Amino acid sequence: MVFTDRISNRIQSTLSGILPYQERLQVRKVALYAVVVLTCAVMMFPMYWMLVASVQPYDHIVRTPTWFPTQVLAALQIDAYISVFADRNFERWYFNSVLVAVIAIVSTVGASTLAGYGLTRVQFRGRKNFARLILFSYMFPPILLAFPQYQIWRRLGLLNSYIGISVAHIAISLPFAMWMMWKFFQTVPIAYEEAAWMNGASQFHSFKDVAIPMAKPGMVAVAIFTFAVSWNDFTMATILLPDSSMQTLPPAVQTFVQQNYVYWGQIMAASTLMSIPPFLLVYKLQESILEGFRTGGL
Amino acid sequence: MSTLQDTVNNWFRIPKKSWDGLLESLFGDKKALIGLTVGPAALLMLFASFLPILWALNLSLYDAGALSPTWTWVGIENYIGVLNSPSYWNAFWRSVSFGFGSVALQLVIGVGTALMLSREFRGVVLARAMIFLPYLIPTVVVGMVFRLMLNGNYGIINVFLVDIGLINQPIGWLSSGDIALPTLIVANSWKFAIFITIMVLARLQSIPNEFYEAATMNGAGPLRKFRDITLPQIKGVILLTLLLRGIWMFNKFDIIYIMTTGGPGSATTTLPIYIFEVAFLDFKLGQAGAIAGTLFAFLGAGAIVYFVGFNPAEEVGR
Repeated sequence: MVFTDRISNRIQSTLSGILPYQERLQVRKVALYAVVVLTCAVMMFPMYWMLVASVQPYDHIVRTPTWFPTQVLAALQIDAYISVFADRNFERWYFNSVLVAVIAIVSTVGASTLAGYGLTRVQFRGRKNFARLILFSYMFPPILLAFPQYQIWRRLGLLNSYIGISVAHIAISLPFAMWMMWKFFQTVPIAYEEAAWMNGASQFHSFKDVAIPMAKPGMVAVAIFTFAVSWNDFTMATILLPDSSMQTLPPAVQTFVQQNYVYWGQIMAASTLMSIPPFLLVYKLQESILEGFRTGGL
Repeated sequence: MSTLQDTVNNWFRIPKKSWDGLLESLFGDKKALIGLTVGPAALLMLFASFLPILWALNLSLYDAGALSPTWTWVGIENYIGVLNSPSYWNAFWRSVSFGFGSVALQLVIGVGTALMLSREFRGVVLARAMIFLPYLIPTVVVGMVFRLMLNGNYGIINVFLVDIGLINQPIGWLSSGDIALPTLIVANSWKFAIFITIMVLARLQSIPNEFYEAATMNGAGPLRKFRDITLPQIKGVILLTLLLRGIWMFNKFDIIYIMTTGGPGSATTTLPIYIFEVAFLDFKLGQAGAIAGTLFAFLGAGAIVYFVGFNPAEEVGR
């Protein structure tokens, strides 16, 4: 520990010996930017490659690739995008994905907000064990749930249904969502509600008009989280939606891979279209994402 | 006119009022309030999560095939069969190495990226958006793009590595048994390290700036500040992430299935892939249930460590 300090001080003093303060700052800044740009490049490169492949003819994709976009631009075409709509059921799959995500988001936000309120505002026995049970279920991986869900859903006629798959997504998102809302309501001072009660408001009123508006940031974070779970889910959709017309996007994309032929262009076009909603969300709402994780603390 | 209007208004007002009144009286009663708030979530979790788990545990005690409609009670025979089969243990150790490898790599990348993004610089919002994006991009997209980039014949990764002189000839990253699993770990970490980044970054942002100012006043260098302020503050979140991520990566199904379907051969058949094969390709439901049962036992062990080590419910007082 002392040793690392000595090294760090040595570097510091050497640097200050060589460079004046201002320039040292400059060097640091350039180094920081270099690291940032490199990291962003590594993170974005697959996205770039996906875009490039989505606008190239098949025989361009399956030959030794070139780095420079000149040949890419020369061969530019949107056949793959047309094809996913014309030859495939793409708009149906997109609709399925959106609808399933909406059902999951509405149910998860609703149930977790109510539960978060109840857990912070009402004292009852077994609360701690209830919380433990929820957190335990947060550890369940999708495959562990999807396999028995398949057996149960089949008997209940919930295979290939919007409700069936949404409930499966809720199983994954609700534990964390509930935990987040629980923690979030603890940051909402009960004093505001008490003030409302003093003025004659009922508990329902203070819940609706005081607690809910203050919990909105948490609800947004929960909604984004649930969206990510639902939009991402491959495992459960693969198992619980065997019927092609009911599939959501992730398992549907997998069907472009066939025994001797991989429809790369269509896969990449579909992937690009699937990446648009997450991209918009992450750009607009990154503060809410961080906020949610901050209060969730998980 | 006015009477019609009144009538219409009354139609809407009366139900609304009684609805409000009903909710008000329900919220006023403590028992009803508990049921109304915690009830929906509890019912959803029971139906969507706990019932399926119990179902699988029950199933694991029967000889059940997809073709025969009747289940025959066999007790722990399925467990004995599963635990004695070498392919189970091979899958188990693959799960362990996938889990450990992924968590180690993700921790390094995740914490490093979080430290970088916690600084204030121009364009930090854009950089964050670019780096967070892979976390929200569907796994199937990530898996397919990496399959394209890692292809032995036309993958860009090979072109890059040959160009910079690291390898002499193209490698089939996902088609050779020895390197398929390490390749999966790297591709998987590209996406999931961002989870750690977000968690650590959220924590870093809540460290008061005064801590650092005070340390600077006392002449602490950057390394010392990291060791004495940053590290203790993020230690908890790192330990927690290690545990949760370890469990999740041990049980990861989607990206492995998408990229290799467990192949080549069974080089990347981890336990979750093994469950899938036993349940949906061999239709040995009872045995699949038994494998799920063992996974559940590992989760239970993880949960004990979690509750003893972190005592999450205690932390949330009130």
